[in-house]
Amino acid sequence: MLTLASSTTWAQDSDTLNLVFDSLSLKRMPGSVIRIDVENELMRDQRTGIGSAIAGKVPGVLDAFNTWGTGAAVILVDGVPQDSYYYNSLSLMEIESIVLLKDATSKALYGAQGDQGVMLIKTKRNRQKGRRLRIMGEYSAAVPRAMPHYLNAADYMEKYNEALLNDGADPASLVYSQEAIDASRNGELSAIYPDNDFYSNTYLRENVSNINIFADVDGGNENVGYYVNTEWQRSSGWLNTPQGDVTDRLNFRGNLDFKVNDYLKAGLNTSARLSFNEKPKSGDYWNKFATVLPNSYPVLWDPAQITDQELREMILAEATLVDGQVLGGNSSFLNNVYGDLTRNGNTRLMRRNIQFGGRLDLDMSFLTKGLSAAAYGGMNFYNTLFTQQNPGYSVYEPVFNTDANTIDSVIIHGVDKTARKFNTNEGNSDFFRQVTYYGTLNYNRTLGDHDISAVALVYGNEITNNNVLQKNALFHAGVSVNYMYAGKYVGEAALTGIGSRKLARGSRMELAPTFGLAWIVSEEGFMSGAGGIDYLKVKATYGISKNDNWDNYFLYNGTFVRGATLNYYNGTNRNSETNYASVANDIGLQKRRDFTAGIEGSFLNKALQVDAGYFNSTSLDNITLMSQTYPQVLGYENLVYNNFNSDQTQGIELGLSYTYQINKLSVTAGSNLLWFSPKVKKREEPVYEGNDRVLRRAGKPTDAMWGLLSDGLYGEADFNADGSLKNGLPVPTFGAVRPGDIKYLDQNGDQIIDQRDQRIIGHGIRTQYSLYLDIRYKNFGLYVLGIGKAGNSSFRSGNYNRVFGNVKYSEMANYAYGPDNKDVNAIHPRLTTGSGSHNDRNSDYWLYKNSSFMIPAMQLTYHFTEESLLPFIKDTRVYVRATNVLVTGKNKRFQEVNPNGPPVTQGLALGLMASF
Amino acid sequence: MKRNFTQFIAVALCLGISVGCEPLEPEESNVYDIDDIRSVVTYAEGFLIHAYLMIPGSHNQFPLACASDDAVINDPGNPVKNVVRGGWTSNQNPFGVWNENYESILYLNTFFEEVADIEWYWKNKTTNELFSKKLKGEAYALRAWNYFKLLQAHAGPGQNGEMLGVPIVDHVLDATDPDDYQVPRSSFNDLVEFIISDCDKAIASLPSRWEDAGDFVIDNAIGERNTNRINGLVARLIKAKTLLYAASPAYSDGTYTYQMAAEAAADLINENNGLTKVSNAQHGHLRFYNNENVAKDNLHPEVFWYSSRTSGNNWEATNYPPSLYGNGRTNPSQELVNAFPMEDGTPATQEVINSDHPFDGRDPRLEKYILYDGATFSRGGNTIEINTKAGSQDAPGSTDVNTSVTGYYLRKFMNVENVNLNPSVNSQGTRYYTFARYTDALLIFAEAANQAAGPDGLIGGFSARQVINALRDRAGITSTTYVDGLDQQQLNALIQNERRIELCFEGERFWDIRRWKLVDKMQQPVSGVRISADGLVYTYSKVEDRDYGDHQVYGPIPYSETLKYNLIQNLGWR
Repeated sequence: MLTLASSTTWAQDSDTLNLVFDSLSLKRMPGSVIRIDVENELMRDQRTGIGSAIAGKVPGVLDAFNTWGTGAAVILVDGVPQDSYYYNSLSLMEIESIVLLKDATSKALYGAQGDQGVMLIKTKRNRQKGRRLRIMGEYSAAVPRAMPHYLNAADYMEKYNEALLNDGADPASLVYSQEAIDASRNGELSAIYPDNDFYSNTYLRENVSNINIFADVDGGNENVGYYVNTEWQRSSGWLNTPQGDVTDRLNFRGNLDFKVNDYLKAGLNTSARLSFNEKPKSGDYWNKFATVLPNSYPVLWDPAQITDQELREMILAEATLVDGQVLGGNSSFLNNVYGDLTRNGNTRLMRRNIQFGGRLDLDMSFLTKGLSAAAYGGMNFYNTLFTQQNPGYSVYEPVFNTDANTIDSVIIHGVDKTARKFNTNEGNSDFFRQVTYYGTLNYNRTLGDHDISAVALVYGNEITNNNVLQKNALFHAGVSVNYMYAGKYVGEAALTGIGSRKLARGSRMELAPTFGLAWIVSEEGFMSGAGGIDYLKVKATYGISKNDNWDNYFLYNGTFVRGATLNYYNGTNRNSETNYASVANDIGLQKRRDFTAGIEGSFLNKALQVDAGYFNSTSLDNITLMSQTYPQVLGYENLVYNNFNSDQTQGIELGLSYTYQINKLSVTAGSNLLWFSPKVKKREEPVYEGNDRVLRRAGKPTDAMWGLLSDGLYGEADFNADGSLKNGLPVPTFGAVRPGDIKYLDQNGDQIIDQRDQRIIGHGIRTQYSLYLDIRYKNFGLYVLGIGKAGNSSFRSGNYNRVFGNVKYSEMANYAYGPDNKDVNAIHPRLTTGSGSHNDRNSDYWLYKNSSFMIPAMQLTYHFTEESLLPFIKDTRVYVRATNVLVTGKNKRFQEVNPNGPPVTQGLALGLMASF
Repeated sequence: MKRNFTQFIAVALCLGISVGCEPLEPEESNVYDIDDIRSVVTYAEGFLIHAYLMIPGSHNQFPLACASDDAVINDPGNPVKNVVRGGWTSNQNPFGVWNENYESILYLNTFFEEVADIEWYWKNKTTNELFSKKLKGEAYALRAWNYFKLLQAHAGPGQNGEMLGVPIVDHVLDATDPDDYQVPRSSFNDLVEFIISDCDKAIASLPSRWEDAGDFVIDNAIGERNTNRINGLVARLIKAKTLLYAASPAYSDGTYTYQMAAEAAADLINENNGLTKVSNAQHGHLRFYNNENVAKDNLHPEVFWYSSRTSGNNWEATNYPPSLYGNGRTNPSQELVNAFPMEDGTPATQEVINSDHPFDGRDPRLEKYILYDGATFSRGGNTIEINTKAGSQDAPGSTDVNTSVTGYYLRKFMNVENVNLNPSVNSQGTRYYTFARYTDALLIFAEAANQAAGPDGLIGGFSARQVINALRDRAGITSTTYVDGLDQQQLNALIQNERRIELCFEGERFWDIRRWKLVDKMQQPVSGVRISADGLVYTYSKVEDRDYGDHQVYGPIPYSETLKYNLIQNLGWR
C-alpha cells in the first residue's frame, strides 16, 4: 500500500546525515543544512537530473546550485569533487541523498572548494534489505516555445534601403533597386534573388526527443553488499539535415562493500560516464542561421533557371544535387550553410570519465570506546577524443545577364571531395587526471547527558590538466567537535587549516575557525505539552572560511619570464624579451565570513513544517588587481595585487509545508523562498569625485545594472535645419545623432552625454519563490511545482534585438523609428548602416522587467499496489509529465527568443518505473 | 595488540608527514628572479627587446590616417568611425599611447638600473665595453622615441594654463611610495629637454648605421649584425622632430626655434650624404616599402630603421578591393587625391579634377600610393585594372559590404605585384615595416629652414627650396619652375602639402595638422567620388564629417589616470 503521508523535500529532525567524514543527526547541527530524500522525491517528480531535485524544492538555493545567490556550490560525489560533465551525467535514480551545507560552520571540513557552499551527493549502496532490481524507461519530446523571426529577403532589402535613407543617402543611389525587391517578393529567378529561410524544416526539426533507460540491482548479505546500475540516454538535436545532431550517453556504476572482520570494512566505488556525439563539422549552426543574410547568395537553387541548355545539362550531370537543386555561393561566400551541414563532413566527440576509489573503515574501539578511523583514496580520469572528416564541396555561382534577364553562365568555386575517414584532432582533445584522498579519525560517544562527536581530518585533491603546468590542488586538515548536553543544548566548533600553493613558503597554511550553537526548545520541560509544538530548534552560527580560488601563482614573489622573440639582422639574429611576470605582493588567503540564525520546527502533529533562517555572508579580502589605484606611469601597475575587494550578501531563506490528510486523500502544499540583497562592501575602483561620485561601486548592489537614462528617441523637433542638435540639448559623445536615435539624459549636469552619465537602472534576481502541491488519492498522485523569480531586469541585447550596420534584420526592424513611424517612443531606434555606437549601449531604453513565473514540472503518477500486480513485482509506477507548461511574464517576447542557440522548449514525458 | 598499535602510529605519522609537506609545493615554474636574469646576457638584454617589441609595426590598419583628412575606413564597427563623429573623449582615445609607452619606459629604466653594467662579453674587454655602450645607447634612443610619441599624443596646455608635457619617469618607480609614483606632468619644455638629452646620449653612444669595420672585436658588438635595431641616425631624427614640434605653432613659446630644428636636421642630412642620393636617378627607393632588394641593403640611403623582413598577405587581405578578395578597409579621400600635383609640379586645378580624366598627367606618386578607377598594375604577367565605375563590384554603393566608400583603395604598402588572395592561389609577399626614413628628415629640414631662414637661406649647407626640389625630382616631377616662383609663405604651404603626400599613411598627417593648428583642416568633412558607368561623369560628394572640437588640437590625458592622482588634464578635455 502506498504511503499517503507525503512530506517536505527536506529532512526531518530524526534523520542522520551522512557527511562523508562523519555522520550526525540533523537535530545536532546548528547551521543552514538541507537534506533531500531523493527516493521520496522521485515518487512524485521523476525528472532525473540532479538539479531538478533542488531547484524550487529547498529554501535558500537560487536555481539548482547557487547558494544564497553567492555562487555555485561545489559538488562532492561520495566526497570527491566532480566537474559539470560528471554531475550532469548523474541520475537521481542512483543517488541516495543530497545534503546542502550553506554556512561556514557546516562546511568547515570541506576546505577552500566550499567557498560558495557544498553539495554532498551520496550514491546508493546496498540497502541490506534483500535484493532488488529496478528498471526505468522514459520517452520525452519537446517543442520550441519561441523561435526567432527574421525578415525575408524583400523586407530586408526594403528596410536596408530605409537605413541608408536614415543615414542621409541619396535616394537615387540606394543599394537595392525596386526591381530586385519586387522580383524577390514574387519569387522570380530565385537563383538571382534568393530568399533563404534557415528556420524552415529543411534545416530544423519541429521537435526534439529523448530516450532514457535505467536499471539497477542491489543485494548482498551481512558480509558483502553490492549496488550496480547502468543507464543509456539518447537525445536527438534540432538539426533536420541528413546527419542530424545525436548524442548518446552511457553510464555505469558499481559500489561494493565487504566486511573484512569485526574491525575492518572496505568499500569500493567504480563509475564510468561515456558520451558520444556526432554532428556536422561546421560548428555552431545556430550562429550561422542568425547571421547569414536571406539574400547573400542562393543556398540552394534550381539549375532549370539556366537559360543555356548545354550548360544546364552539364551542371545537372556534374553537380551533386539536393532535391534537384545545386549549392549556391560566390567569391565572398565560398561556404554554403546547407553544404556545411551536409557535405563538409562530420565530427565525433567522445567523452569519458572513469572513476574508482576505495575506502577503509576501522573500528578502533579496541583502543577506546567510540574511536574509529577511515581512509579513502581514489582517482578520476577524463579524456575527450575529437575526430573529424575533411571533405570539400563546390558552390555554383549563377551569373546574371542584366540585359537579357537570364542566367547564361555559372562560376564553379571549389571542388567536390569525398573523405569518409575520421581523423583525430588533437587540438580539440582534452584530458585530466584527478587524485583524491582523505583520512579521518572519529570519536563518537554518549556518556550520560553528554553526547560527543569529534572528527579530525586530512583532505587532499589534485587535478592535473593537459597543457597546464600547475596542478589544481586542494589540501586542508581540520578538527571539528560537536557536543550536545541533555539532548537539548548543542555547541559546535571547528578549526581548519587551509593550505595553498599560491602563497609564499612558510605561510602556506592559514587557520579558519567556526562556531555554532543550537537549542532544542521543544525538549525543555516547560515546553512539554505546549500546544501543537512537536519540535522546535533555535540555531546560530558564525564562522570564517578561507580559500585560494584565484588564478595566479607566485604573486608573492618578484619574477620574470621570457616572452616573444625579436628577429633582427633580417632574421639571422634573434633574442626573446624578458618580461615582468609578477612583483612581490603581500597577500594571504581570501576569506568568507558567515553569520546565520534560524529556527526549525514541526507543528500540529507534524502537519506543518517550518525551516526559516537569516544569513549574512561576506566574501572579503579577495585578491584584487589594483590597477585603478596605481597609475600607468608605474609600468607594472597591472601586476600589483592585494587582498582588497569585499562583497556582502544577506537575506532570508524560508521553507514551509503543510499536509492535510483525510482518509485516502492527502494534500501537501509547500513553498520555498530565497530573498537576498548583494552589496559591494569594498571595491578597488576609480575615485570619482564631485557629481560623478555616484559612479563609485562601493556601497552599491553587486548585481546593479549600470546604464544611461533616456527619454525615448530624438524627434525631428530636436534638430536644427542643418541637422545639428538644437542648443540647450546635451551633446552625446558616441558619434553624431539624427532623429530616431536614443535621447540620453545628462545626469551630471555637464551638458555632455558620456559614460559618466551612467546610473543604476536595474539589478539582478533578488527573490526566488516556489509553490508546490502534492495530491495523493488512492493510487494516484499529482504533483505541480511552480517557480517564480522577481526583482530582476534585463537588457534587450544582441543583434536580434538591436539591429544596425550589416547584421541580419530581425522582426525588430519592423518596429523601428522611420519615415512611416515617427514615434519617439518606438521600441527600436532608427535603422542605420552605421556602427550603432550611439544606440547599441546599455541604457534604460533597452531595459525590461524580467520577473517571471513558470511551471517546470507537473506530473501525474499511478502507483501499482502490490495486490494489483504480479507477485514478483514490488513497487511500480507509470507517469506522464509536462515540463515548462506555463510561463508567464510581461515581457515574454524578449525573454524567450534565443537566436544564438537552441530554442527554449516545453515538452511531455511518459515513463515507467518498475521494481522487482 | 600493543605492538600493532605502535606500528599503526608509526605508519600514520609517516603518511602524515609525506602528504603534509608535498601538497603545498607548487610545480617548478619557468620564472626567473633578477639574479637569474643578470647572470645570462640574453636574458638581461631581454628588457631592451621588450621595448623593441612594444613598438607598433604593422601596415594592416591606419587609424590615424582614417581619422585625418587623408582617408576613411569602410567598416561601420571600427572605433575610429565613432571618434571622428564627436566620440573622441579622454576615456575613448584610440590614438593614446600612455599605457604602452610607460610600460616600455619601465623596461628601459629597469635595463638601466638592473643590468646595464653587467659583463656583456667576457672573452674580450673591448668588445664588452662596446656592447655596454651600444646597449645603453639603444635604451636612450628607445626612451626618447617613447617620450616623443607621448609628447605627440598627450602634451598640451593644461587646465592650469601652462603648456605641459607628460610625467617624466627616469627610474623604476616604487609602488609603496606615493610620493615616488605620483609623478606630476612636466612642463612642455622640460619634456623636450629630457628627450633631447636622451637623444644626445644615444647619438654619443651609437654608430649612425650598423656597418662592419672589418674588425671582429668591434663588429661583434656594433657591426652589421645589429641591422633592424635603432641607430644613431634615428636618434638624430627624433631630436630634429622633437625640436620641430617644439617650434611649431601649437607648442612654441620661443624657447625652441625653427633654427634649432633646422640645424639638428642639417646635422642628420650631412651624416647621411646630403642630397647625393635624392634624385630621379634614385627614385626606385621610394618603393622602399615593398621592394625586396632594398631591405637587404643595410646602407640604404632612404631607410634608417626597419623591421625584419617577413612574408604575409594579411595587410592586403584587409585593404585590397573586394574584387581582389580584400576587405577594402582603408579608403583614401578625395582631398588626398587632390593634393597630388600635376607631373610638371603645378597644383591640380578644378578643371582637371572635374574633367573625365582627372588622373591623367598627375604626379607619379599618385599611382604608387592609391588605387583609383583605371589604375593598373602587373602581377604574375597579368595586368590588373581597377574598376570603380557604377555597377562594378568595387564601386562605392555596390551591394558588396567591403566596397570603398570614397571610390579609392590603398596601394601604398600593399605588395600588389606578388600578393594574390584568390583562394586557389593565395600567394604571399615580402614586407617589412619602416620605423624611420630619410624623407621625414628632409621634410623636417625644409619646413624648419624655410621658417627660420626663408626659402633660400642656407643652414648647415642646404636651403629649404633646394631640398624640396630634390625630393620632387626624385618623385618624378619634371620641373622646378613652380617651386622656384614661391615666396616663404607659399613655400611653407607647399612643404606642408609635400609632407602630406610623401608621408601619407605613415601616421604623420593627423598630428601635423594639429601642430600647425590648422583647425579648419581638422574639422573639414572628407569626400569621395562616384564615377558613372560609362566613366565620363565624376561626381564628388561628402563621405564623412570630421566633428573635432577646437581643443582637439591636443590629445587628452587618459581619464582613468586623472582619477588616480592629481594629474592635470589638457584644456577643453574632461
